[in-house]
Parts: sequence; structure tokens; C-alpha cells
Amino acid sequence: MIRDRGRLPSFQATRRRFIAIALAAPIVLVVSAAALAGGPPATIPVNATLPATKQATVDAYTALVAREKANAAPANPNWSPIPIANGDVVQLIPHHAAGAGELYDGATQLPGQTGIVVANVWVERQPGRIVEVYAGGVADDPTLGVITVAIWNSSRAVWLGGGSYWAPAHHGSLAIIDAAGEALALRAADGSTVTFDAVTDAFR
Amino acid sequence: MLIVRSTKKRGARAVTRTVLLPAVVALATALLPGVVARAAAASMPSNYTYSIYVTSTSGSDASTAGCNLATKVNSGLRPLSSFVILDFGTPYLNGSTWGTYLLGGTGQFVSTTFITNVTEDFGAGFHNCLTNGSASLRLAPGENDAAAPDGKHYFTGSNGTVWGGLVVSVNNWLASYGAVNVTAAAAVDVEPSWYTPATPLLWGSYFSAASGGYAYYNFGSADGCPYGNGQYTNLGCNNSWNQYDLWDMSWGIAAAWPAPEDYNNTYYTDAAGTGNVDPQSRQWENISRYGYHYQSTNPLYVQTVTTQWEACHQVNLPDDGTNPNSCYSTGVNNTQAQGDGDMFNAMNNDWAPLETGQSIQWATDMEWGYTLS
Repeated sequence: MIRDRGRLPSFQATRRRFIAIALAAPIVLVVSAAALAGGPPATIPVNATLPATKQATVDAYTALVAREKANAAPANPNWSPIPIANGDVVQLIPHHAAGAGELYDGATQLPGQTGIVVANVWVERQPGRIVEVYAGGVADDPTLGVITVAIWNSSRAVWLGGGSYWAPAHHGSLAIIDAAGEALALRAADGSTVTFDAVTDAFR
Repeated sequence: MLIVRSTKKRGARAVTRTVLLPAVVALATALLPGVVARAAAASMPSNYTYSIYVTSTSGSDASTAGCNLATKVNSGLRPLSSFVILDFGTPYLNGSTWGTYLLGGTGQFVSTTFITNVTEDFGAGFHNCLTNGSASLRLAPGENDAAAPDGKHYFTGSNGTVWGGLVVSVNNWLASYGAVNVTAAAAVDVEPSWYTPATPLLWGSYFSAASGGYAYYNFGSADGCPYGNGQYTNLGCNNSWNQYDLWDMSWGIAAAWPAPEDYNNTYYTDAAGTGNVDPQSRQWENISRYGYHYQSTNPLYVQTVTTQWEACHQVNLPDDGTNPNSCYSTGVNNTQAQGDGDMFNAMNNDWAPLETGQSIQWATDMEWGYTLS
């Protein structure tokens, strides 16, 4: 699931063409197909004068950079991160032991997922990594249940993998009710139960 | 989050660039009241950064991530002028301590002191590994306007004051540390579907009063706003928001700068028969045109386009063409280049370039954790 990407080849090609045109023929007016078809003229006023309130923001950052430059520090390879006090990170969502992990009674949603409502999450801390299993459903289809697995390094700084899995039958949104080892007992909205294996990422 | 769904998928879509004929620019300038100070070709960024849904509670992880970003800037893998959002989730007042619930995971609460420290750690890490003296980073710790786990909203005027002070504190620290060209702003993911407009607008005003001129960037959505040509007469959006409210939240308020989402790659054909029309960017174009027509020729200027290709693909089903909730199927599948190109085209090449024409200086794609930053 971890990937790094360049820009789309077609986009790169388009950009290279644009740069070539810009350098070679600065007075060329490129008109989009939409414009040729009767759309608006391709004349663009850019870098407009900002409203005074916006210019104030620009000025604030200009002054800040000047302050930084006046106090410029060399790179410090021995930088020590600012200590985090205990009271600055607090676990507020109730949780209890469940199998090999802990079950959290509620969870915030996962941005990037569209239309999925998370009910709760089971978390297992393994050597060198954290496994999270989210149970929930689909807002637009009350018959669908879904499980999302997230695997992190031990500090949750780096996403190592994961993905989402549909419930094998249409029994509604899922919630984790208990765990035995890494086998999670799930209850669907209609009361039926199913097990999700957090080792194989499969329902059984 | 997804704004609208449409039926037509993206086809081959040319991203048009425009190079201006100076004389034409001069004419356009003369015709536009109070507009162009200097004319240049509209441009968009050639590269992008990853912005982060913060999940780690370690300052060391933040400084390492900042260092990794600087190393990539040094080698040209990331833009010389970078913009990074550190999204700390949903605001909450824990007793008398302001902070946020981190997104995902166990929903840990982190204080604004933590947010301040982690942002400074990221900035210090960037500074300490940067060898290209012409590079810069605008670092934006952020939160959203969603309800906390107790069902209440804490994205309030008081919270805006706190975040204004947070940004001042981080910038004072960066200046005292001598982290040249690393500057901080706030970021807010304001989505109409999450909250009605009155209190978020108070957040913006209170932030402005407390931030000493420093900015906040709204990387939220315009869900429910109209995207048809000519629909800019202060029309309604979701949850009692209207185009004025979003213009104000993203531009009208002194500290506000727009960094809108353009996640969606579902397209449609409009009434005029123009195909491959992107609703999300057109929503923002209409808000900008609203500003031009109804706010003293004051269109908004998009600073960055925010996509979340990476975050979506991290947590969703594979795009194998059959999964109904994959990024492809739900349309949350814009690459940064696509999102940026759509917004650029909407503002410059579609219906009203004389009203909304502009350059876009940054580009960023959301990811989970510091995985690729």
C-alpha cells in the first residue's frame, strides 16, 4: 500500500510543451479547446494587487523572515526534539482489554474514506508495529459492513500497510464486540455475528 | 470529503496552459478596475508536497519528517517552495486545556502545547537538514470543524483565539531559533456538512484578531455549493452555508487564504455540452466569481490545491474496477496533478478568466502519518 509516485506522464509531457512554448515564443496565445468552441477569451489577469488586508499578511511574513535571517542559525545535526509532557497527550476514549489487544469504544473517522462510518477500533501493539482494526458500515447503504486494517510502525509515524474488507454478507454495519487472541468477534446491525481474523485479514 | 457525485468519468483531458500576449494583458488590465499590478502568465506548481494526518505523538518523529522533507527538497524531489499541513484532527476542550483529537487510531487527545512543540520540531528538522538556501517552507498546523467524539463542536471563537496565539508562538520560536525561511500559519479543514457557518466564521475572526497578521489556510470543501456556469449569486450550500460564507471563511476574513480540496475525479457534461467538467473546482470558481461580482471585485486567490490520493489509497480497497468503495469507485481519486490542473483550468480557462484568473503557488497531497514526507 505504500507507494511513491511521479506526476502523470501525460501531465509531464504537457508541462514540458508548455515550458518550451513559453521560452520560445513568449507572445503566443494558447487558447483552450473550450475557448475555440465559443468559450471565454483566454486572457488572464494574474498577480493582481491584493486587498490591503491580504497585503498585511504578506508583510507579516516578510517581517518574520527578516527576523529569522537576522538570527540565522547553522544547521544543528544534534537537534534534540522538544520534550512532550505527559499531560499533553491523553487517552480519553474509553477502552478495555480484548484478546491480544484493546478495544476502544468509539473512534474518529478516517479521512480518505468516503461514506464509511467507523463504530469502534481494536488495537494490538506488536513488537515493532501497531495493528488497528476498524469496524463500521457504509452511510449510503445500511446493509454493508466494512473492516479497515491499518498497520503502523511502533510510534504510528509511518503507515506500513492495510486496506478495507467488505463483510461477506449484507447484514449491516459492523461493530467489534470482543476478541480471542487476534480473532475479532463482530456483530452486524441485524444482530448476526461473524469473525474477522486479524492475522490473515479474512472473515471466517 | 466528497462533495458531489456525477456520472461521467474523466476522459482524456488536456491541461491547458496560457501564455499571455502582453498587449492583451495590458488591455485586460485596463478594463479591470483595481486589478493588475504586474502581468505575467498564470502558472501552477511543478511539484508537490505531502501533507500529514498526524498520528504519532513523538516530537522526534516530527523532526525526522521535517529533515526527510528538506533532504528531498535538496535533491529536487520536492518543491523549493513547499507547503505542508500537519492535520491534528478535531478540536476539543479537555477541562481547561485546548487541543484536538488526533484522527484515526485510538483518538488520542493532544494539547495545543503538544501541537506547538511538534510543529516546531518539524520546522527545526527541516531547517537542520536543508542545504539549499533558496528553499522555503510554509508549515501549517491544522484542525477541522467537525464534532468531537462527545458530539459537540469546539471550533469556536475562543478556539480561534487559541490557534492565533499558537501560530504567533511557533513563529516567534522559529525566529529565535533562526530557522530561516520556515514560517508557520494555521490550517483549517472547514466543511459545510460538518457545522453551520456562524461559529466557524467567528473562529476566523477571532483567529485574525490574535494572529498578528499571520494566515490560516482553509483546506476544506464547498460541499453542496453550485457548480454550474453563472451560479455565483450568493447561492446556498450544505448546512445553511452560502457562497458568501465560504468566500468570507476562505478570503474575506483578514487572515483567511484558500487552499481548497479537489479530491474528486468524477466529471460531468454541463448544460452547454462542455465535457469533463470538474464540480469541485467549479464550486470554488463560482465562489471566486461571487467575490468578484458582489464583494467589490474581490475574487479569492487559491494558494494551494489539496488532494488526498495517497490517504485514500492507504485506507481503501484496491482499484481493481469491482470494489464499490475503492478510491476509483467513490471518485476520491484525483492525483495532485489532476486536482491542481482542474482548479487551474476552472480559475483561468473556463467561464470567467477575466474575473478569477490567477496563479497557484503550492500543491499538496494528504497522507497518513509521515510515511512519504
